[in-house]
Amino acid sequence: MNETKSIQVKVVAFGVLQEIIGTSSLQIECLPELSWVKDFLLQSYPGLSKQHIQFAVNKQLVSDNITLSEGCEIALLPPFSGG
Amino acid sequence: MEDTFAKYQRQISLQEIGLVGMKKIQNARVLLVGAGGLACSSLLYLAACGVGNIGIIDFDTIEISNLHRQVLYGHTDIGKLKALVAKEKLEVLHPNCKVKAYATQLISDNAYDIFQSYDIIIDACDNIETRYVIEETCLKCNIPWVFAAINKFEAQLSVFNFHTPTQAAVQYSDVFPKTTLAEPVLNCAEAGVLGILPGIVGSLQANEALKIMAGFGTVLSNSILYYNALHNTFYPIQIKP
Repeated sequence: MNETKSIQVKVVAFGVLQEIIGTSSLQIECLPELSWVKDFLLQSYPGLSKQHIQFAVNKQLVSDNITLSEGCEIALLPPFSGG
Repeated sequence: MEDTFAKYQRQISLQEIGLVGMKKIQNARVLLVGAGGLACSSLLYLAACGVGNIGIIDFDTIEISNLHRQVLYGHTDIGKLKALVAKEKLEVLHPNCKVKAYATQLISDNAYDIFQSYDIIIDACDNIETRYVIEETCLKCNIPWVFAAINKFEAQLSVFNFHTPTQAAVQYSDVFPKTTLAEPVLNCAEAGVLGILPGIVGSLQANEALKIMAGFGTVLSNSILYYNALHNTFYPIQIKP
């Protein structure tokens, strides 16, 4: 990782994604790109690769790669099924 | 009218509703897709609040494992069709509410004909495939739908296809596009669910539906809310269409 560009972000997860990660939130050091965080999470928690995951940054749904800022909050969102 | 006024006086006295709003609620036509945990809660409140016309579509029968969360049903109802039992119970509680039961499965082939008779759909189903049928049909009929789904101690809530003069409508597939999943999304039977959870979330759905009918408050139309009953947290996420 390029030390000069790394930032700290918070990752929160819901539902089955939280179960796979094993905690409701974690702090990670990362490059300021959402795609970097996605790759890191998929490598660290291979079970995520089988799940449908949407991402939100600072409580805003995002579908594309975006630039992250220091201290931002990334949410991993699964669909739920039950009724 | 005297009886009506007496029954709903506490609601009519709210400035945001009044007699005009109450009339809109009485004329409203709401369809519940599913008659499980979410529906039992929202149906009880919608009928009690004075909604005049309610439809319930569900092909399932009542099982003993439903009773801890599907509060319209009891032991003597086991084996009976949920839609029919729900209709009977609501009509006893609130004879002024007209209830139509559809003891069938909602599919693409019947959805349009059924939805045309309603102004608002409440998604209380238990699978994502049906959710996409609801989305497609609400788009065709140009009506909003109040979405919720539950998982163990958690829930999601939103209002989709709700148009306002200032904001384009958001759709379920804007959040969760159709895709082939390696792992299926588990329903209540597979994942388990806290009995109280659909009671809370079904009530929130009824509240959103009532706001749409009578035109008060802020509708949850441009965000999806994650609720966690285990830690009592709400996590709203903004959605851009």
